[in-house]
Amino acid sequence: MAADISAIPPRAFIVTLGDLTFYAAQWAITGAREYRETGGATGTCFLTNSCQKARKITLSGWLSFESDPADLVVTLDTMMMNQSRFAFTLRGIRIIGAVLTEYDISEKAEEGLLPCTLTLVTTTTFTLAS
Amino acid sequence: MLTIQEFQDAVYAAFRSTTNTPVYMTYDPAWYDAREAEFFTFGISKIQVHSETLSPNGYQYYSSVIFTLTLYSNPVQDQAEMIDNITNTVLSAADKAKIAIAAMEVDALTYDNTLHRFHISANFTINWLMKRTY
Repeated sequence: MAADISAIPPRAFIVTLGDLTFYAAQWAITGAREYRETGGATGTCFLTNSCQKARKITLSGWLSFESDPADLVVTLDTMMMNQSRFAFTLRGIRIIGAVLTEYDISEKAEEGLLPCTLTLVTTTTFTLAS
Repeated sequence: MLTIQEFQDAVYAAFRSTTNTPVYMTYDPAWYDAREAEFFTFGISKIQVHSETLSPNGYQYYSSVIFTLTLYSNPVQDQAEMIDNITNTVLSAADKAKIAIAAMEVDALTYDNTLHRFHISANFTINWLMKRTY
């Protein structure tokens, strides 16, 4: 039995949202289908209506304290206000029609990094980026 | 895909091409007094296997390795200069080898009475995926 090593290279998940390029250090995608449950006369459970819920994409990274977050915050706020729709590729997944639903940037005086989390949703089915 | 030995050799080669200061493996038997006034030693201090998962062809382990690079010098240099030297050497070599440093600690400068040298160590962690086939 041989042990094969593949080291983790320096990497980031680069996502372009309009004019903004975000170097995410981690990402998460959530997909869910919701079913309506109804009880029958004999107590049996029936699944009736269902729907594919919007896919949620969460991108997390950091800004350094030297960079002024004002531009970024204003840009994100405008994107959310305008309900801008974005198309981008994340790890080979083509995501289209995504809107920004949440941004979270915080800063602590004693820390040099500003955690930044963006949450986007889309109702469009993912495809493979070619 | 590399074996642990090949991976260590690749990182070692990256160090040797990064710095003009000689780099010895930690188990190199060359007598310290016969070495240069300033040199590095390099080797694996610890391997941590965090989790085991089964795949169609074998086992996969999310693991990490802690390497130690030590800079020996006599006469002593300025501590800040030695910290700067060892930190930049590690980061430049990692950059050259295209591996991400997950964590690094640099110890304080100390004097070794047996070796008659001042030395400072950088312990740095690299994450890797280890696969073992059936």
